Amino acid sequence: MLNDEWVSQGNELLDPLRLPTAIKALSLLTIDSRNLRGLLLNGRSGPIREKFFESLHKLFSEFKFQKIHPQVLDTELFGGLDFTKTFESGKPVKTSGYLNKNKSLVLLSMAERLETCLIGKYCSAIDTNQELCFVVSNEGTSEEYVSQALIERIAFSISIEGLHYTDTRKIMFNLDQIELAKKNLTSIPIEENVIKSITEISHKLGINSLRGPILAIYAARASAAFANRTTIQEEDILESVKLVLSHKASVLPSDELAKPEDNQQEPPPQDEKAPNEDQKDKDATIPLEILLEAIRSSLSPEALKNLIDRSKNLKKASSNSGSGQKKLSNRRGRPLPSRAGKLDNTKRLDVIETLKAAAPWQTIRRKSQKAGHSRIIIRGDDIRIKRHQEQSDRLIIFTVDASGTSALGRLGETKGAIEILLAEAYARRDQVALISFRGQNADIELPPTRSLVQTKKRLAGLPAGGGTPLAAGLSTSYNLAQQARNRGMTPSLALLTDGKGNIALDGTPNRTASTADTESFAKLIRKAGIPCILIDTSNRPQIQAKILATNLNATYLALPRADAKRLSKAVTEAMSGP
Amino acid sequence: MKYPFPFSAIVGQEEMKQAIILTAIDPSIGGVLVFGDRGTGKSTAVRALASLLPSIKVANGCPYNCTELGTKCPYCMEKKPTELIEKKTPVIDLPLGATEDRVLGALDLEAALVEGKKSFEPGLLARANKGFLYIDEVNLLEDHIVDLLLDVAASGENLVEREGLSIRHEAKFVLVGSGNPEEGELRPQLLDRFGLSVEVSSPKDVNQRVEVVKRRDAFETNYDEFISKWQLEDTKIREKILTARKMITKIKTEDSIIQDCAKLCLALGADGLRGELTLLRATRSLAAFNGDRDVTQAHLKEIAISALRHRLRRDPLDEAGSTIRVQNIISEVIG
Repeated sequence: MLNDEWVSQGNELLDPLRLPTAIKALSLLTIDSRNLRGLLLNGRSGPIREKFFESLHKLFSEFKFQKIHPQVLDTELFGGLDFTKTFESGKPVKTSGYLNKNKSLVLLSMAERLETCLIGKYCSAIDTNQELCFVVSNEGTSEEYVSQALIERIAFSISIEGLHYTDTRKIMFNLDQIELAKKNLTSIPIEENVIKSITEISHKLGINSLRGPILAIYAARASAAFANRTTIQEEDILESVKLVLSHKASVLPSDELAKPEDNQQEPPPQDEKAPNEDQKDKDATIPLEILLEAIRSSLSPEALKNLIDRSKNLKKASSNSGSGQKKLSNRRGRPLPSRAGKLDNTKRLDVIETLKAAAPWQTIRRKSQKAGHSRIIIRGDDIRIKRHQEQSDRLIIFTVDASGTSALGRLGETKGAIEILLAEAYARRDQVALISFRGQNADIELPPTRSLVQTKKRLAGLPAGGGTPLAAGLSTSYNLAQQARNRGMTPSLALLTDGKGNIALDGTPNRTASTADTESFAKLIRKAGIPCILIDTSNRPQIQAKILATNLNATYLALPRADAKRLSKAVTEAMSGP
Repeated sequence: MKYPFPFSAIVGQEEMKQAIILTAIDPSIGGVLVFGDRGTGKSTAVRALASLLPSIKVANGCPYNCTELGTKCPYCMEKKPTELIEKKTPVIDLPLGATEDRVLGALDLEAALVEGKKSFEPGLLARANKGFLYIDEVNLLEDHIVDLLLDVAASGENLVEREGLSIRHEAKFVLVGSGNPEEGELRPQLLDRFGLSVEVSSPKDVNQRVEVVKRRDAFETNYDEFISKWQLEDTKIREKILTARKMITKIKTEDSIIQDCAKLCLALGADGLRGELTLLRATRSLAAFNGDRDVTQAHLKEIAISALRHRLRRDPLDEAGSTIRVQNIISEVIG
């Protein structure tokens, strides 16, 4: 099936193997959906995606199809009382729930928008119910990503982005071959050497989770069955490495020079192999080099870089989705007008509004009902749901270097820059806080406030001079940001410094310790996913500030070139976060 | 019904397995928190917990798992059950995103709609009474649910005053949680509720990894054979747990051991006295599990890290150092 004729001519940048890979992955999934669990489909809607979904219906003909949208209710997932129907009929009507059904293909659309708690529910369904097969569809742009916890549990990830309309003709499946493969699947043994090769290669690729190799061995078996082989051969392992492991990889040992540790780790596996002489008569494990070569050929360097960036972004995104960011709620916060909607366990009924909605209809409804009916007749459409809006203020923490080096140079200009940022913050109704560091420690000059005047006053009177306790400044900022988060605010950090810290966290003048402390706090802030902007206030842009910006994952901007427009643009970008 | 992956078939992760067994022996230790990377067997181990637990005796039909007859629970007051029946120790899953109504219990809407009757539908806390409450991804649990749990865990009683209902029932449960620290921190108040805390990481040794994959494969492909083989092992562990439960009351604890516990907690600067109590109970149940008659310093040393690791004042700079800090202090204090 894998032929040169598949190469898409329309777009030169496109990986020519994209379509055949997708088709192969889907075929293998059909063969062994119980163990391979599912597939992630990346790509926006269009004819290609439609064609794939059409094929899904053919491939999984004996499965029930259940498309689930991201706003699904608990009762719809797990079954329970259907409130709307119950109200209408006056007797309890139960639903069975998507995740309780046998033999069904669960299609999660817009998976990049799933909320964490919903992801948790799907993950446990994937873990516990083998009758379900998941097709996760990611329709997001490159900035939105599907949760790693979900992707990790399913075998394949395919992309249809960039395929041309004419490619729809090429999407075909050999159904007979797949049927035959399904029958032969269980008779193919999984030899120990296969397990060994796959486990080793996934270890080398930095796949820490053991779900990766487990999925990969079944992909290899399905591949063997698909090719109508009775044992798993080298090409099946290669295929499974390409289809399952390559997109889960976090490091690519591209060559020996790039990863010297790998060289040192090379001998032990060989030593371990040596005592197992009795295995030699079976197929020897496939040399790692061949497998690595397979990955190298299936992944372009850009693709891998994207993968690694993605895992970094994901950590940030997931830690960001903590408390205090949700806007609409039906439990707490400022009340909003109630709205018509479906009732379920997560929502609260607005009794008065529901009755008000039902009131005008009573005469008409009574006429259509049997005589003698005296109670109020409420239909599903009358139901009104309470809505509340939770406050999620943004907080910009200004952390200002007021040390001697800064004061001599350009504290005045720094203050000017802050005023620009303040105006920006004021326009967007953000709260601001001011931290300055000089001498031995950092002080919160101004706790979070909305008062622009007060901030300006404090800023004007900011004393300067002394050492640069950069680490203390970062530590205070971090604590304030975390406190703000706990109170439901969304903090971001604007750091104005030259990056040349010389006072350690404990207040002693020690440049080495200071650098180490600064670095660890910067990493902590980055890990917490607090959006940052770093404005380099030194006379000439310095490497230290750039390093700090990298550690913070901050937008770097040098003050000399920071005119009002650029500053405001950079701040808007940095503060809007990922 | 398909059984979950057997507990005894989990490769390695000895610390996690030990902690789970100890809390099964003595639930008053206060549960286990398992923190670690994805795909390391956290969920698998906790889901397998149910098969290790001996059965309990509860009043027939009581949804609150009353272990005696004639209690003041809403069900026993009304229906007056006359016999105790054997039931598996409940291990209840608390899903993320569960609502207050579902956790605490609420007005039974079905009964209200159909019979026009005002009755209470027990929630997850009622079902978890006398058993275990398992929360996967515990660090992602919403704050207001955490508040509820803390309140109920502290009082051992669930009090519902809403929708014209006033219900009070016993809710004594052991918390078992798992999570991935990369995705979020756990609030210190909740952290303190867990008796033992273990950190798991994926095995670094290739052979061990291969073994994990092999067993998982055997579980999928030779299900019956695999289950019957390992259920035997699970039964052995369960019997050991039962013996240990009987033995635990007879175990002697010297004052010097209690002093060591206190010294350790003091040196670590752990807040409150829960640290000492947990440490003592865990040490005692470890001795019981090993079949020893006396508690020794060796037992204390073996379990101290799990019991104290999460009770340190957190130093935001110290990312993975709490284990090492506890270790250092143990060697300083006990030697």
